[in-house]
Amino acid sequence: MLTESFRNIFAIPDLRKRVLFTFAMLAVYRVGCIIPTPGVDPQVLQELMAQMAGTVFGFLNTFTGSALGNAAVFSLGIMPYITASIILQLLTVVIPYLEKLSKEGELGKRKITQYTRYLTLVVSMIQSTGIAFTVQRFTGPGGEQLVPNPGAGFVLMTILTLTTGCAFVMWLGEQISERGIGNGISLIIFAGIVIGLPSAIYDTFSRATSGNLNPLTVVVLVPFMLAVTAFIVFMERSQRRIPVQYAKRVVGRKVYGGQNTYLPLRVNTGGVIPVIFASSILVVPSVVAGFLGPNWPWVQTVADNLGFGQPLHYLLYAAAIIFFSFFYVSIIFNPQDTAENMRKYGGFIPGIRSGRRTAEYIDRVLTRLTLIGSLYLSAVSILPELMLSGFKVANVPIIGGWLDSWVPPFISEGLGIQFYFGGTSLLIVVGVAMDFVQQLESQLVMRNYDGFLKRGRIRGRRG
Amino acid sequence: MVRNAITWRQRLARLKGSPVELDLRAYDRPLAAVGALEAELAPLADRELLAASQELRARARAGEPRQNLRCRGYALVREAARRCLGLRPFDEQVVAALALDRGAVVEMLTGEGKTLAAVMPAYLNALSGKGVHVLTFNDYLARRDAGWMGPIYRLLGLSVGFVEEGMSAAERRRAYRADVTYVTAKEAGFDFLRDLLATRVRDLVHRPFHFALADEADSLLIDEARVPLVIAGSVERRDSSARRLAALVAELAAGVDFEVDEHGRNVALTEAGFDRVEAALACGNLLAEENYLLLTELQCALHARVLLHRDADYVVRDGRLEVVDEHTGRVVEDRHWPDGLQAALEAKEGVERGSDGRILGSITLQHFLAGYPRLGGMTGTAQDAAEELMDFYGLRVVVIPTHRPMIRRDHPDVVFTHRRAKERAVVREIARVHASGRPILAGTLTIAESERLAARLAGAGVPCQVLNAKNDAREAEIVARAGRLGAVTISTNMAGRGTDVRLGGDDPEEHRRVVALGGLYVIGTNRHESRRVDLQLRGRAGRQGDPGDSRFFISLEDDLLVRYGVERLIPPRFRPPPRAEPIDNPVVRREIARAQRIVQGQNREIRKTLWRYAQPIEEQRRLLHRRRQALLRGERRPDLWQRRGRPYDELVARHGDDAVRRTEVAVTLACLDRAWSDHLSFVADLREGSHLVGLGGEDPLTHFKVETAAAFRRLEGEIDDAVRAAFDRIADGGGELDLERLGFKGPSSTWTYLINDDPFRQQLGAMLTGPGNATLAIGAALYLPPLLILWGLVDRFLRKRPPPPPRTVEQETTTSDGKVDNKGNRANTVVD
Repeated sequence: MLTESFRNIFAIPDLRKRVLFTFAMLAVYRVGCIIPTPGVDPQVLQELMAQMAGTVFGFLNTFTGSALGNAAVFSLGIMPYITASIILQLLTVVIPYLEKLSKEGELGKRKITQYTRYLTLVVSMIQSTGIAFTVQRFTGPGGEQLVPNPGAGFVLMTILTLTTGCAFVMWLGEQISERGIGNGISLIIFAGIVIGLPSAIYDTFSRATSGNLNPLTVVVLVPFMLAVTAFIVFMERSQRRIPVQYAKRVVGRKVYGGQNTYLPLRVNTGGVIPVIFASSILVVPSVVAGFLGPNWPWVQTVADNLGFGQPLHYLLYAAAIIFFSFFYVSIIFNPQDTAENMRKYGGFIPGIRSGRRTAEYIDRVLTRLTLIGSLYLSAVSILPELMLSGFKVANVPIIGGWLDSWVPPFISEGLGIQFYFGGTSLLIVVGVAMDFVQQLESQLVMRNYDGFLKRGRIRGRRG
Repeated sequence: MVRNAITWRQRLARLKGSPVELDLRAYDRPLAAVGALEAELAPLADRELLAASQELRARARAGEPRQNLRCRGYALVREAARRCLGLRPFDEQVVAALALDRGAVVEMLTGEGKTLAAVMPAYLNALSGKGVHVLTFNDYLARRDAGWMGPIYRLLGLSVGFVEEGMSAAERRRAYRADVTYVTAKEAGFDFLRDLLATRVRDLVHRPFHFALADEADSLLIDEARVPLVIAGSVERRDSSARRLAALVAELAAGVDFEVDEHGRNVALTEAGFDRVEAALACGNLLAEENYLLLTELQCALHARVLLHRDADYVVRDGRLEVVDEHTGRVVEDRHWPDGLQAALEAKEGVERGSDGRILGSITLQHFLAGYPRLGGMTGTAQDAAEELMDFYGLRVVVIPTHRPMIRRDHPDVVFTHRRAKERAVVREIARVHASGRPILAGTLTIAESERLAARLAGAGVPCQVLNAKNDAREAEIVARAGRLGAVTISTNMAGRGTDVRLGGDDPEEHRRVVALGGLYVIGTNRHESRRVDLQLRGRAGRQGDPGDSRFFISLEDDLLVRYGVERLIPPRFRPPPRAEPIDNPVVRREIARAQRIVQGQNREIRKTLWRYAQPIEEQRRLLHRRRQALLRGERRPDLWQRRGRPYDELVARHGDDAVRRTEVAVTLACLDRAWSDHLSFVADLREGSHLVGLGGEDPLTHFKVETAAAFRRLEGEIDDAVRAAFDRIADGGGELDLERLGFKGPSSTWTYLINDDPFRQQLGAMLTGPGNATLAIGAALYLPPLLILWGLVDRFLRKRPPPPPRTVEQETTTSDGKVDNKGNRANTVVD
């Protein structure tokens, strides 16, 4: 089946062209992730990166396909574009002009896209300025400067290079969306994350063979990873289908019920965004603590208690994810608008009055779905951390010490396994992959009718 | 040599990939070749000309590529046309013919001889004997052109036929067997549909399609493209509550019981309306499952009352409802609204219930036309449609210059603040120009408007003729007089496309005098949604190098401008106070043009979206069609029954192999048709729900494709099951091969009609193109801290804003009432 689909892809000229185009563009993107920006000493950079693995910086590095670590021209990746589109999306809610524009059809959409591009440039300029100033302060472990010739020249050059790089990546993404297959922007992120996979597998493998890692762990881990992935796929596909009927049409004699028309509400409407919101908030205390240094002991304590593996961290993390799930859903999905939209086109939920009551109904269903969705999101996000750092039972109030005395160390200390795909990455990768496959499928679908004609019963007469 | 004047802007557009071809240098060489051959052919006798043509035909049949025969063929036609009609095709016409053969839509203005130009490619492509269709704009033109051009073809040894409404199948078959057939796309399409349902090979009327030339190509290929041709059968009256509902709906009050959206495309009951209707019908919850049919009918009744306007969208004549085409302003024979709506409308107007029935097959004109392996087209307004012609049909647009320079003057629009002022100005202008005796043609938007204007002119003492869908019987007569001295003609879009206004009628002396007065003066009283329609109206003047003028009178209260909120587009400081004099402001004029562009763009987007949705279904239809043809022609043998073993053998022993097989084929065909018909309903349903999928965050089109494909794959099993079940019924029922008893008797009678698929300005398309939030950047991956700050800001903002109040009826009505009031007051203050 799989090989057949694969063969089909290459049997259809248009599809073949699109797929190849997509890969070609992604290849271009990869090249840009390796070419370093001018003025940075690559030797020092490498040493520095080795040092920084596992910090927030490492986390960001994953998303940019280690372009950040290479101090490459594409360091900013597609980040500014995404930031810009989220900002604009939020602003459409706030600014009436944008709201009107978003409803004005094709022309309005084009305009918003245009604004998104401009904003992307602004964001990337800000970010590259930050990067430039930060980078030129760094010194390697041996005391040598990361940037041999710091100063205004370097800063300007970096801003120019990174901003241009970002604009180029944005263009690549748009080209893929238009002439390739799938959503270009998502695919670029996807490529960035997945590119590190082979080396991570190799790394795990070599650690297992060299004895640094219990081979048994690997044996357990692989099926576990697969199970988690399957679970995510399952949850991401889950939706509640609210039947919607249209009163306008009767086809022939047959009246079709609402089995084909429905409003699909996803269990996880907000996607990965709530997790990102939550994790960025939880990072704040440790950043502040790091900034203030040891002179502020109470800040330090707070930061310590919020560190990876701490009970308080898990608690707050889960709570934040749940909160942001509801928050984000309320921003992107408005039951009132949906009900209004349905009413305008003559649709209704059987048995429920259109308008306000429909909105209430949708709202109620959505709230329940989101609760499940947010629990699922927290589980998926916490799991990898649990694997890595364990659950520091000793810090649980009152019963902590007692628990710690008999709980096995792989729970309290974690397995020390760097789950290559953290919760967020896993969610993104699965989401993009599913999307991509669906797009491919919709293109392939037409070719799969062959049976309809081929199932030949072209035979001679009997007898 | 034939050349267009090309601006640098056009050159730039061409470089950027515009599908409009203005540079005609490529045609110089074949044109010269045709000219040279012409000299060679001129001295030949008719007999020798025929021999030359026959030699060409033999070469074509032997498989020689068309390119080798083209110049010689065209020269032959040119010579033949000169001999038969006394008309020698101009170089411009030959260039158009060359472009047509290469698969293009040529833009030729009115009176430049499209009909004659089409003969050349038609002749050339007919040489192979595979048949050429010239798709005319209406039945009358099919008959006229076939008769007019017939001698040319016959002199060259080719046969000509034409098809018109009311012909028998045998006559049609004969016409389609001719080398060249003049037929409307509609009739050809209906015949195609009938063929789809044929159960015997000898019932087919069409041959496989080969080449078609479409007249008024933009109208046919773009505007009408979405209109489905429908074949229906087996009348069974449904007793309907349409009348009762029409009476009920007539009592509802706008704004209180129901609301209409700003574009006039949708109407929906309010809570109060629901209460009222439920009380009146005593039906309990109207939205409950068991009331579905009732609700549907109610909705239809509401649509019929509120959204469709008599004398704009339809006319009532001789106790029958007749649909008026939006683009041409003509009554369209055989056009219906979708089923329930038609019934509701008939109830509203209290006319006799027409027939309805099960739809057996349907195809949009677009897909029917795409079924021709090669297609060419001609029209006066191709450039505006160029992008779509390329997207949908892969046709380029080639612009052909006029034979004599076009000297019509198109004056800038005269813009008024309100409608009353505009209408007065139009009357004044007509009276002023009419005093000189110069003929005037005024184009209005609706029938009602044309009558209003006529009444006002009568009041001003200006006699005029009205041409609209209501008196289309007198069309030829009115048009014949429209160019004469002192003629004032008020028309709807009917006097656009295809209307040939001859200055001074046929009298050369009068022609001279009319020319001296400045030719025909065209006045437009509205901008149409599509600029092409405006251009067609202007195009009535300045034909074949005659002088002429055109001018549009517009008010800011015109439908187009109000509906698309031009007021919003015009910056406040340019928004003039209401007054009687025209506004002379380039900004305002520019914004009006922009509004039209926006509307055109939106409509284009809608058409494209609908096209994307139609595409997969079309592919499925083709597959099924091929399979059906194979069954019908006996190229594929059904074997499902055979597999039944003993009962089958018994049946064969009793009726003979042939009879059993024939029955199986007939049953299979019937099952196939029925399954397809059901599939189409499923698809329509799915498409309607697609925008909801968009709301749910998925890509609607992808979803649609995947779902329909799955349904289509299930179809095969369903057909097989039905065929097998039919066999079981035969076996159980004593082995009689009686199709009727099996329930597979074809419809007793079939009829064909067109459906006005999207009576409410393609709201479905608007729905599908609406904001879908796509994949909403799964990528939103990289939320960064700055965003958090932003979120705080947004949150503060949201808190400051009052919570959105639940949309209540009162609010909506007061605002809309307020608007109306404003306008009413405004208009009054000025006029009084």
